[in-house]
Amino acid sequence: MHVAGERMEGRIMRVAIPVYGDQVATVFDFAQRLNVYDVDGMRVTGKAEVDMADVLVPVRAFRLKDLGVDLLICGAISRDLAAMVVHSGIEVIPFARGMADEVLGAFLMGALTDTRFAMPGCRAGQRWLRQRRRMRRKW
Amino acid sequence: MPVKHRDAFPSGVILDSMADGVVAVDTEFRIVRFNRAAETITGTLAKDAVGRTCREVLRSDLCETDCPMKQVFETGKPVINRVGTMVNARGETRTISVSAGIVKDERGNIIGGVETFRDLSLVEEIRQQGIKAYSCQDILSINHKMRQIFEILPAVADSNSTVLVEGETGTGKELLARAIHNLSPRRNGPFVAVNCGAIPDTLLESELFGYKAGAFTDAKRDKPGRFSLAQGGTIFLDEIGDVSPALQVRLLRVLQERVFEPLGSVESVMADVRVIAATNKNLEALVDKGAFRKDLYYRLNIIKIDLPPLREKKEDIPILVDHFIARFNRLQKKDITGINDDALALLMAYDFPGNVRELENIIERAFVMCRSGQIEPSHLPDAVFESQATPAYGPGTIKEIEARLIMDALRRNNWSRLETARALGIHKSTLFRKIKALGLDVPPSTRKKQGQ
Repeated sequence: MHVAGERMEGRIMRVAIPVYGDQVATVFDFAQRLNVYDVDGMRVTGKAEVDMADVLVPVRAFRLKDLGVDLLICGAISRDLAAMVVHSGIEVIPFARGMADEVLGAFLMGALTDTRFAMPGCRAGQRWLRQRRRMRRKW
Repeated sequence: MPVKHRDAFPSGVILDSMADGVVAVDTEFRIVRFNRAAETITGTLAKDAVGRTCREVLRSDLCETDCPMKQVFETGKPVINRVGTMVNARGETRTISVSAGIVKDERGNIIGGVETFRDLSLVEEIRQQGIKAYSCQDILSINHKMRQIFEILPAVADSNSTVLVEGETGTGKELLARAIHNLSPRRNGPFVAVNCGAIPDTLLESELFGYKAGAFTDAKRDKPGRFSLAQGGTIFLDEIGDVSPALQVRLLRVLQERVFEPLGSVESVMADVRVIAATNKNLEALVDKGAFRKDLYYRLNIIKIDLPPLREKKEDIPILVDHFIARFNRLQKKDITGINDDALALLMAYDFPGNVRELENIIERAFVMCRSGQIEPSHLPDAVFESQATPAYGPGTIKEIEARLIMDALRRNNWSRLETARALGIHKSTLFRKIKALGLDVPPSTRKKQGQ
């Protein structure tokens, strides 16, 4: 499991961040675009932009899976969609804010727990996602 | 990051008294004020929200595609009741209706904007919880004041005491009187309703008490009055405030002695009748002015029930709309499936001067305009749209907005300064100072004489 405060040395993964301009989109459910990064350890080896404007909310989890995403870092996300994403085997770090590239950098450095990357009033909201992760193991 | 003009916006305590979420932002979309209802709807505390951009806190689908606040800054025109979806801090999806307006300083410079939003999911949830538990006889309501009335109604019905029902026109005074009658031991007796305001005063006396043959020209035979017709049951005297002083004396005698004399009769008739009176006027104020007898008022005011106007129980609108749609589908053999979010949002923002009766008429009219499917904004009358032209909290200067907020709070508290100050969380003298400074014309409290 990836933890927001853990350095990502020696790991290869695909990370998706929904964006609005250069910033993390406030809600993944409504985001129009998605940045997809390939990460090798601490290094970003590739970046692509995916249009999500016509992707309906219930289909978004499948779209992430089709894209081969391992981890979704996003702003707010509805419980139902988060459950679907987690159930698809994709991990979620919700309620992130700031410039998307900086947020990814902070994640790689293990600094995403810094309050400047947290949406206002949302730290407590992460708990239900941990519960979901535990549920996934049970499934 | 410091926010601009923070002190220029209405204070948090005043905004906290509002049921709608209110977010005030500066021209850079940074939150300056964030009221308690906004905390509840978004799941974010004001201390976390202030200083952040509104899109980070409101998290709605409108923020990044169709931001109402951005539109307001660009056009200078208010945005009214745009329906959107937001995700709160707990990850729950809520349907919201958003309105926005600009805020100017006293020189007319734009210093920010105010966004108000209402959680429509809440009323939707309540709608889905089933409305049976909140109905009493034919009255439907989920409003807390109405539910208190429902709770006391069986005891009121049992008591046989005179009841005074006060409420604006169209609030369902007769419906309530019928409910009391139907729950009372007199339910098998007649229920006789008389609109005292609709009958000329000269005829009202004979209408109420009847007459004997020969009492006046053309009185060829005895005619029983409404009191006689209501024997063993209930008489409902609507618009009691319109009764002349002479007739007030006769009514007082009926209430005191439980007897009356038909016109031209020398014999008294026992009145085994329960009296329920109603008025859309403030009887206490009429007593103060000398237009209504004090002794009659106290005879009527044994049990007093105040029916709130529809604008003070807007949470009832969705269930009433559903109720009327179901009824008109049945009566008109149509299949209207419901009302869409935009049309419902328009109704939620309308003040309904004609109360529930007006809402019923609006739905009946929509049934004529709408052939099938859902009721849409185009099926609603112009009056509903006209009210949208003057949004509650913008645009306007700070003083104007503060004045509106204070007047709203005063109205909700029946013009009682003390209770309004308490509700706003400010000292009474501060409220007086603000009323004076803003030049507000506040009517006297309707509560001050209660209990005297």
